[in-house]
Amino acid sequence: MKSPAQPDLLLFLDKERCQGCTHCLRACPTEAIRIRHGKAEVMPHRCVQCGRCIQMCPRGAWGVRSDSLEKVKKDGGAVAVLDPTVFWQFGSQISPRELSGAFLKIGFSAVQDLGEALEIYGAAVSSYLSSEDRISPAIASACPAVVQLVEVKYPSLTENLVPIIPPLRILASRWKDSGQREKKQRLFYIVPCLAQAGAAIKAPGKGKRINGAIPLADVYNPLKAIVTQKGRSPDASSGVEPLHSGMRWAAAGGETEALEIPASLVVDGITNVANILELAESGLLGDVPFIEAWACTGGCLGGPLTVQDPFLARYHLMAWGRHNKGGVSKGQVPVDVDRFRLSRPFASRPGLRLDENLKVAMEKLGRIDQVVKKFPGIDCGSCGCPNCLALAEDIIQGHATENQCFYILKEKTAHRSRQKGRRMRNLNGEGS
Amino acid sequence: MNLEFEIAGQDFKKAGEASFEVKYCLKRLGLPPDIIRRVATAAYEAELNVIIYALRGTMKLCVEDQCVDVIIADVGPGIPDIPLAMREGYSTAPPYVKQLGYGSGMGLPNIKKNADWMDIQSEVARGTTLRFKVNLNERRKRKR
Repeated sequence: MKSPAQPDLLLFLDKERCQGCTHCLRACPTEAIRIRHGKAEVMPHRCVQCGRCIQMCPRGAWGVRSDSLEKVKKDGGAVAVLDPTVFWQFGSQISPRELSGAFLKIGFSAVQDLGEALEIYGAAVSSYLSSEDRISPAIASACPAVVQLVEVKYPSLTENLVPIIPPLRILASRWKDSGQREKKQRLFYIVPCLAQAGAAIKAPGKGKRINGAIPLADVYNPLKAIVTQKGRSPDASSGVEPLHSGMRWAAAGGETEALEIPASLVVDGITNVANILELAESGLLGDVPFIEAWACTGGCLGGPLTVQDPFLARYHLMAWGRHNKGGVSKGQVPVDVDRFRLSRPFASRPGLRLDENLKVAMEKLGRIDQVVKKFPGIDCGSCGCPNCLALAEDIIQGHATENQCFYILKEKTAHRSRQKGRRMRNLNGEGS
Repeated sequence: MNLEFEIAGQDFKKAGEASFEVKYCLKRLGLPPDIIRRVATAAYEAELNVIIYALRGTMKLCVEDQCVDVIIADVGPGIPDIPLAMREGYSTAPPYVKQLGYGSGMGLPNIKKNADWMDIQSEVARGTTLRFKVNLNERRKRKR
């Protein structure tokens, strides 16, 4: 088994496109990126797969290693697992049922929405929240990037994460148990983000239940072509009506709504989430019972692999919700939801740790404190580190030199040219 | 290892900055989560006391083999009666501070609760030095 400290990273960089600018460097919430030799690099042990780098890159250099639609088509027998974000990419042009039909036209043999798994997940979370052994504030674990952020950067909050099996795994195990799974059928999750792709492909637990992940952005164009063609009538009949109850999970606040929690702290956007976790860690959130946190702005609708603007997408979700108030379809939630508790709780990942040996780490921390004073403290990023402190840390860890700092280099150069000037004057007999 | 962070009196907007720095250092040392949480909570309370009552202060972090040692020294009014100040709910914070939601008289008791050892030295009209330690080998089960 692979060490949890080194998750398989699906994130990759197109070196041709990367121009070594500092957009991703500064956006990364765990300072996992460096620019070395003019190109970005990621430190896997620190990456929480939030996908901010993908979103911030002006040249689209960051991408996700995933399965291709071509392969799905070629092999046949692929089931598209639809995340609720999928339905709000095309506005009011197409209904959820028609869209699920459109998936059959682009190469999938069947579709399965995440609605029922989300309902079961929600019921299990509700049950945990009302149980005796809950820890306050409970932190939602539905967003895998938030979970990883806690594991890396807020280790003391890992026990606050709601210990329920993720919806995708619930879906996969039910799919397997229900006998629907014929030998040749394979499940492909249509993902809105890097973290979900990671969760799908990593396939935790026994046996590989999810066969792969396909970025939502990759199926957008072929779907869009069908949506605009609008031969319409045949699609509506072939499509399956997705469960309405799962739809609201696409937007931030959806979990609170689904769980009917009277008041919870809803936070979205990785920087905002980090701020709230900082407060939670120091015990400053007062009586907040539940934190619904999403790494992306607006929730999953703002995922780095989605296409539609998240706010416009949320409008479409709301508009659809208003028209479908009466007929909220629900799935079958088993009675014993507590069996969906995670058997192993979340564990911290020492991504920030300077050294395994406490004494060595202490010594390093002291030296970093000295070295950082040499730098101007303007966090310009020209050295390839996100800020001056990170450069100091890299120097002590042996990954960088102080000459990478533009200001230090400038001063050294100026000093050298002054010395040279003095020598020249001495040679010409102009010196004192 | 010795690190020092500045605290400015009355600067409520920056409340937490010094203790967040301390917390970040402990994470980089890779200390156990429950130790980090207890030091962070106690350090925040101590930092707030400086902000509420004093002119300025410093927070010193010293990590040794056996414990985390934090010293918060301030220049300020000092504490005339330390046992009284240690009582839960006792506060001399002015009304405007209470309006901000601070100064409920739980600060010092909360530090005591989270630390394994604590000491206050104070001189009226000069300042206060609060020191607390959290033992590294003493793990506490978290209250549910």
